[in-house]
Amino acid sequence: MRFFLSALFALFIVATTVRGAFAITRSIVLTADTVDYYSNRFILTADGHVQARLSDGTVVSGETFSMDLKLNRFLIAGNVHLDGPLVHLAGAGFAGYPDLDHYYFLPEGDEPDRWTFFGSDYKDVHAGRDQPGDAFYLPDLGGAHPYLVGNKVTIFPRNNIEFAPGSRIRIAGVYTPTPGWVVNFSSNPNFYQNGYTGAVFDIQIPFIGSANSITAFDVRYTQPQGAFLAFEQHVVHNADYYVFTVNPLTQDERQWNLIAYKRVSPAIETRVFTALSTLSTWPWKEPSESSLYTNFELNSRIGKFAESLNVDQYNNSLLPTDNTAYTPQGLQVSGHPFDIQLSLQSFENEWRLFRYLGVPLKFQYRAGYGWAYNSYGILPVNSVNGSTEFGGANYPLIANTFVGFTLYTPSIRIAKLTTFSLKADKERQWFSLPHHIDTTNTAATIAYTPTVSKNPAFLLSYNVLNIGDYYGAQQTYAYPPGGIGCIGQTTPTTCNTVTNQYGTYTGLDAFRGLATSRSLTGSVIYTPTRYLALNLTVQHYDVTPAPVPGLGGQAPYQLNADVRVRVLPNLLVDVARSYYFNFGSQLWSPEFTVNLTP
Amino acid sequence: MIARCAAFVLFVALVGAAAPTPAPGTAPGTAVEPAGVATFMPIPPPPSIAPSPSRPIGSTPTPGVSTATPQPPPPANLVSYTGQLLDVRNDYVYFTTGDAFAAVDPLRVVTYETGKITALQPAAKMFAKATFDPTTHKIIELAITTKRIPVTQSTTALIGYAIVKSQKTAASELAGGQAMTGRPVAVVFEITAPPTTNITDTLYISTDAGGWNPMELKLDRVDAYRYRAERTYASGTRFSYRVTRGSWNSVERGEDGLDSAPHQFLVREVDSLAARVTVYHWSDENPAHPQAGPQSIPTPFSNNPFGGGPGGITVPTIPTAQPTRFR
Repeated sequence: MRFFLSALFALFIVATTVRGAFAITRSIVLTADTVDYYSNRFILTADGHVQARLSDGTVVSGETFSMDLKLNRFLIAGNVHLDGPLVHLAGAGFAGYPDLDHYYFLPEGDEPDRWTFFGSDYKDVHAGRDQPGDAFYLPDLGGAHPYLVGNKVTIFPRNNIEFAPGSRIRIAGVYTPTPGWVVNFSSNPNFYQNGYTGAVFDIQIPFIGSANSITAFDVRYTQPQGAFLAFEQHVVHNADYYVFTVNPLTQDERQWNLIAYKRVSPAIETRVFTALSTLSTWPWKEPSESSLYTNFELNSRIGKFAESLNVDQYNNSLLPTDNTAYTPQGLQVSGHPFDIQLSLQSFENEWRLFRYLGVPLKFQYRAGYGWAYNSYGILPVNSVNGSTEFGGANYPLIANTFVGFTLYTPSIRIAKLTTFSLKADKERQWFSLPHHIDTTNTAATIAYTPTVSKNPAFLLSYNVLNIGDYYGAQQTYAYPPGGIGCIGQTTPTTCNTVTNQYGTYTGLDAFRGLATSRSLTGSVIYTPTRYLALNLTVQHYDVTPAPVPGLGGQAPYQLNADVRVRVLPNLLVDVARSYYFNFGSQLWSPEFTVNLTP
Repeated sequence: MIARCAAFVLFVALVGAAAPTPAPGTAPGTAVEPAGVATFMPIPPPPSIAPSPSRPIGSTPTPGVSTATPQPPPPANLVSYTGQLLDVRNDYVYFTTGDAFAAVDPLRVVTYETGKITALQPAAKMFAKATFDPTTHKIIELAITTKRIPVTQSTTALIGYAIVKSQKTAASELAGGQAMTGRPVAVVFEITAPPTTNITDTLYISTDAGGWNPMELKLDRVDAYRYRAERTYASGTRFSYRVTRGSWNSVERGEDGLDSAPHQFLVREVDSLAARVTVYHWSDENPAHPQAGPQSIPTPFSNNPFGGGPGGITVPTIPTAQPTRFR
């Protein structure tokens, strides 16, 4: 029995050892006199007493190290020693190609040789096998300054590198100590899912990382809040991701956000977004106010349909209260609106007959059902403090059903380089509160598109959008005269005319729940060189009801200019601004939009 | 007695090892005179080149300390090769091509810039010009420098010089590969947007090379559905990309409405390439149910198409989708 157990134990040890030795490189702990990271090239180098500990326990030492993080290959050169549970070798160079699961070695001996290892099975030498021509090449960094400098870094291939505390980062030409720094270069975009609300600026300090996670503080600034610290935690595993943020961390009003995405199967995904808001005295006192919003989505593919289930839950207050008053934003303090919607959207279909006639015609259709409880499903004008009463009946819960259909042509060539296309979309939505909404959107577009981008491209599009909210005999009850103009008015009997800082506007009594927008859009795109691009867009809107500056509506005439200039090989300056042709005394849009991108 | 004999043999062996190695077919002490060379200066013994412990790479090289009289370089018609060093050990010089060449023992090591003997030890990352004896195929002089110098592109003159112990065998995983030079290649992104895309919407390309900035590369609308932009990448670049409308709350989705994996692209060794993608849906294309996120918490459901919220019609306008800027 004892022998049997000993044999079993020995077998287990051997099995785990062998398994460990053959494992794929999941991480590399690198120490050296100097470790440098070059951010513009995604290259990591190390010099002097280099020691790289691979995740299988093998230690490779040498004089110099380089790794192309994007290509996921590394090299250790100069007096190389390879030491592991099953191997002790010396040589001139050791190159790792984790993606190929191959390692290339130049061993020392009576004569030079070229060895290839499959995986980390160093006992199985494939001598003389062809090696990549550049396996032992060292990168030419051309005197560039490293972005990060340290002497210890943990590499998680294909994901990120974590510099140890005390590493220095180059800011404005000065190397500044850090509490550790994580550089993410993953091709998985889910590391970049954002749980923060917007800010004027945001400096991220990612200080802990692993193959599947990044932990970071952010120094942020917003106009009303000033500067503050925030916290974010990212966890990513294949297609799944979780983002947790506390923003701000250092002020009384905090928002705790969580985004959790799970790909259940290739055909099913779920996503939860939760935003918890608290007001508690810094640092961590009991909250005096707290509210919560949660959204749950379940999307799936059913045959040739995309199914979507969407659920929203609002808790305007999580604290015990019998306060039925309304906040300035119109939220009932004790309210907890809830809505759920199930919808189906067809894949793209085509009537082939029309293709044979030279006019390809495609279509999609959709339908859905849902209901909302304790929500804003009340009539706006006649409602007092969220009353759910309409026409003598109470509607705390409103169900809705919709169907929609989209018909469109792809771009049809009508002349050389000139195409034409048509699009029409119609949707009707019925409610248990007796009314329905019709939305109709049609567009015709003609475009001149040269095959060479150096020549200017032109586009002209005419678009008509109709939205009608139909109550039948109760139309004027739902949309009484003055419905629009009374918003914010203290004397709602004179709502036909609105006077604000932009001027006086009249005729608002005419609105009966029907709106139409006709727009004509023309644009020219000119890219004479790859260093310069110009995009000019002119739009004319004819909207009913007429737009009222400060209240709503599109400016009748708009000009948008966008100029992009590549000033450096890795720097593109994009400047955009709009002109409103004196709409409400407005000429230019309040600010330029400037983007600097690589 | 045996120990003394062994010590004597060891002494003789060491003295023999320190003497210049004669070329095959020449008597000891006879100078090697390559064909066509009228005169030949014997190469003085250089400092030894112990292959192991070395100085930190990048440190300032110390000037040569040899007191020997500077010698002129070997004749110009000797075979030479310039490249970057990987290592020097066991009388072999390894270059970053992976090739190893035998070297005479002792090897004459000089400074590349001056040609003078140096005490600097050859090490990884240095550049070196190796001069070969065409008869023995051994390196007789190594001119080293810490500066980058032009390397020899053609190694046809060195065929048979590099030493590999084992017989060469093919590696199937390397067959058919195309060499990438890193030259600039214009990549044109051509994106076909879904019919739900508003005429004024702006589309962007976001790549892993740009840190997944959702507004990395702006696209221009060139017809009813197609958008286009061009960018230059080095050949051999492999990147992933997705199409956005300016934020991760407005990103492309597959025809099945599910989150789609990033598109992969390899910049091949050609003049120009096109990256064509069809977007079927946007994650926020349903105005009644925009994708919930920190930037867009939807207002509670409303059956009023002209604006939600209690208190009445707030915005009697036709909504126009605008991309939301992140951070």
